[in-house]
Amino acid sequence: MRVTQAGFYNQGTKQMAEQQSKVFETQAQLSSGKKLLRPSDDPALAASLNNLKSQITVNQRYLTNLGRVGDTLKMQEVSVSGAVGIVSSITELSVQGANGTYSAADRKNIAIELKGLISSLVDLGNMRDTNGAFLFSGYSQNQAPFVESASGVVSYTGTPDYQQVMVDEGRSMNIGMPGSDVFGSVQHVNITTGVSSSIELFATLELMHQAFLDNDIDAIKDNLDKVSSVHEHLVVQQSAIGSRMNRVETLTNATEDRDYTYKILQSSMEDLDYVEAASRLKNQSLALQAGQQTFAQLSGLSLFKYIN
Amino acid sequence: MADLLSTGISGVRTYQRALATVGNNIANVDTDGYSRQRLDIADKTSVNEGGLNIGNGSTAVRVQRNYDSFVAENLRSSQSQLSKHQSTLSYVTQLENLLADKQLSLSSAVDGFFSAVQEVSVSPSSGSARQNMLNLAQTTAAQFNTVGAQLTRVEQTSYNDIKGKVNELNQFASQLANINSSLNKSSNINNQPNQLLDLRDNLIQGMSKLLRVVAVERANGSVDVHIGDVPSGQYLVQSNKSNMVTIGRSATNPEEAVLMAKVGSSSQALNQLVGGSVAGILEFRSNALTSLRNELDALAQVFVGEVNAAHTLGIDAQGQFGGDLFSLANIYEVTPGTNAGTAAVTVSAVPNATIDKLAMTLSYSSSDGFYTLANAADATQFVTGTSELALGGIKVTLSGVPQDGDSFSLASNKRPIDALQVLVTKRQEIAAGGPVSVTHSNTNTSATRIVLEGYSKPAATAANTAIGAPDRRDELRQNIDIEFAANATSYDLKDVATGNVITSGTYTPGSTIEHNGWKVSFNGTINANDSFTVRGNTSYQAGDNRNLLSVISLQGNKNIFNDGGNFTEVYTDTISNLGSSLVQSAVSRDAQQIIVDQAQAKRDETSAVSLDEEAANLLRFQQAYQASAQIISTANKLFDTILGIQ
Repeated sequence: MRVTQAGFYNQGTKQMAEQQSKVFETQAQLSSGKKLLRPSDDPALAASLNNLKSQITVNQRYLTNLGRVGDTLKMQEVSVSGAVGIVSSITELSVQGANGTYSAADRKNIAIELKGLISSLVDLGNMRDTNGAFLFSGYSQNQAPFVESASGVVSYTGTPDYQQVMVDEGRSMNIGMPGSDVFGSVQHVNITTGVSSSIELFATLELMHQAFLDNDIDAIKDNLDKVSSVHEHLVVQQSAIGSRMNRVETLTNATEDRDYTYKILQSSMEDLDYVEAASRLKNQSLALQAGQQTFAQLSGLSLFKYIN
Repeated sequence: MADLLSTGISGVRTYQRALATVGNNIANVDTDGYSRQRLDIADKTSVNEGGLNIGNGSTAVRVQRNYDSFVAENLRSSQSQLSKHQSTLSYVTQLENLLADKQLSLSSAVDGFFSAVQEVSVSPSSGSARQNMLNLAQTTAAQFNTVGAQLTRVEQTSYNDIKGKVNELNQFASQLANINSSLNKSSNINNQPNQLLDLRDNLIQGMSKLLRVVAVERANGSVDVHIGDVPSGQYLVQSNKSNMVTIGRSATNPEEAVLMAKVGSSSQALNQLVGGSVAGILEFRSNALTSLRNELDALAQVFVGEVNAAHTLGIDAQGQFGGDLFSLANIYEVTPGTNAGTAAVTVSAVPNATIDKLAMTLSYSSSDGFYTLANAADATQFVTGTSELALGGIKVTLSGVPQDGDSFSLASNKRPIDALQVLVTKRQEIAAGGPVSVTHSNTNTSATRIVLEGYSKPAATAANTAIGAPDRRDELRQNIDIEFAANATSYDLKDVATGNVITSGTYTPGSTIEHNGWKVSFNGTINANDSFTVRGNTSYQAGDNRNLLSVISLQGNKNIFNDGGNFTEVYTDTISNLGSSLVQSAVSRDAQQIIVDQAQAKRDETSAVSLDEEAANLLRFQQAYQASAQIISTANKLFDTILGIQ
């Protein structure tokens, strides 16, 4: 084969350029810490990676949502456990007041106390979340759900809906609780007759208040059963919130686990094996160096050097 | 007469020329396209002297060019293919760099939008969450537009690139025509100056890199150049005439570049664009670029179409049905004629349909009360209707009252990705609430609750086709009571406004009841005479997020694209397709590079200068020259010897 100057230089520079581009590529991987610099490095892997990244975003959104549900549930818990306490006090006062030794004046005082407790209960029913939205108003979150009329009748003005939030792909969870279910109708079973009926929470308490105002011991005794049904109802609501909090916690743990797994997967897909890359860089620079040295040596070989 | 002096002189002259040739080779060692030259030396005709044939010295016959037309053609054709692959690859790489940029990722833009919708669904009454959702909608639209603008820029750059290359090609062609006319002065290639032939080959080589051409050499060394890879293609250079190549945009599709050759006064489209960087760029434009743009347009179309379809079924803060959240109206430009009526036209893209970019006319005739939407170029392609007309991938929605003869002309304007914009700009226009609310009657003896499973736009009925017909969505909000009979299985749907029974049915536990687009189920057993209410929402409850949940469900929905997959998956496929086609291009390029390297090595082996060889020749001819000079000196001494006889 006839080796010509043009051929020699073309070949030499081309090979060095190729080596150089390999070194450059490895260097770019090392400085970014990423195995994949562009989709064409591995289109199939790049596709899985992009889908995975989107999954991570969506998953983190669910975590945020779960956090919000948890926050709201905590506030509902505060409100409902407060309500349980208040109804306990009402029961206690009512039992005391049913005692024949109490005077009419004592019962008047208890009636005033009861009125205060009922108002506090209304306040708990009208509790807001951190955004200023009412907790127990169904969908009408900008409007206090429980309104007390001048005559002392408390009525529910919210909607009967449960606001829902997505907490997983295709799975939603109730975040809101309508006041009509928490502080609304209560199932009451008459102990003596065994007949089950539906009573209204505030109306029942108001009846008790009225009985004290009227100093009507029979009515007080009559209503004691109903008040204890109210108490029971609120305890059930409280435990319902508790079990939902458990569910949120379980879901949060599962979602966090998934997030962690996704991130491990992402790292294994896109992160560079530094040891491998560093030794590759070493090899490649060695090859480049060898190419450069031999090129310099061979290009110095010329017959003209020896012609004087 | 054989004469030692003239023999010596012939040698000196011959080797002077041989040395000059070697010198020229060395001087041109780095000249592009230079073919190494060699002096052909022959001995002079001998003279017969006294029965003896005595040699008469040497003579330089001609300076020969080391050239192999087969090797040269091989190099040109492989070079053409390489340039083609290189151009395609470099443009596909540009696209990849553009789309691999995380800042421009459309899937993360879409994810961001849905995440913001989630935030509003968690806190529907939070103004800042709503504002954030609108901002993210703007960001998403801007992201689509930015990617669209970048792709348009690539389209324009590649067009201008072809334009520049065509100019270069035309210059080469006219230079070659000039060289041909110089070569035409002689009829024999052996009499042509080598430098002119090298120049000729250089020009053809340059043309080949731009566009695959075939050169046919005539006896005098002048060449005809045909476009394509067969010698029967259109002429680029014919003897001393060159045909100008021009580039233009196709009248039917402005994104398509068309190359024409001007032959005399007529222009003809080039049809043999098989190699060279021009062909590579054209191929990139018609394949990778076009399919990428179409895929991203489809993404924009489906995203807008689906989000709008869900959003318009919701109730906004004013208690109205939501409007379109995004708009693609600018895909077409609508120009009304001199219309007497108040009709107005809104254009939108049909999701999952190819937009044919037809020029269309829309006209109204009062004789039949129909609008006609027709292809302006082909009147046999048309649709008629009164409120919504779909043709060529777009949907035209009509409002207002038309007069006879009113018309509009519709011209294709922007690609969906460029046209995408946000229509909802106020927080209270976000349609977060569901259109209907359901509840149970207080008088029910069961504690069974009614559950709203979902709602959709009611299917068209004949009554909707009249001009000015009420919005179909209003049917969804018709107040209806579901009243069960004493047997707790058969039920009536009763219109609350009129008290009339609309329809009756039989309920099987666990099944659903559907009407007017809504669908409900029950979470327990139905008792005798239970009744439930379905009420259209005409006012918005601040915490109602039901419609947002139906918007959110689009994010993971794998059934909204014709070929399946959700937004992320479809976008990912697009990117990974691009990556695969880049890998393909790179493989073709690398393979072709090897072929070119071999062809180049062959050409160098034949025609390039080897300095060692020239150094050896230099010594060889120098010695021959010195020896010839010695002959003259000897002849001189012999002559002196004769003169010296006394």
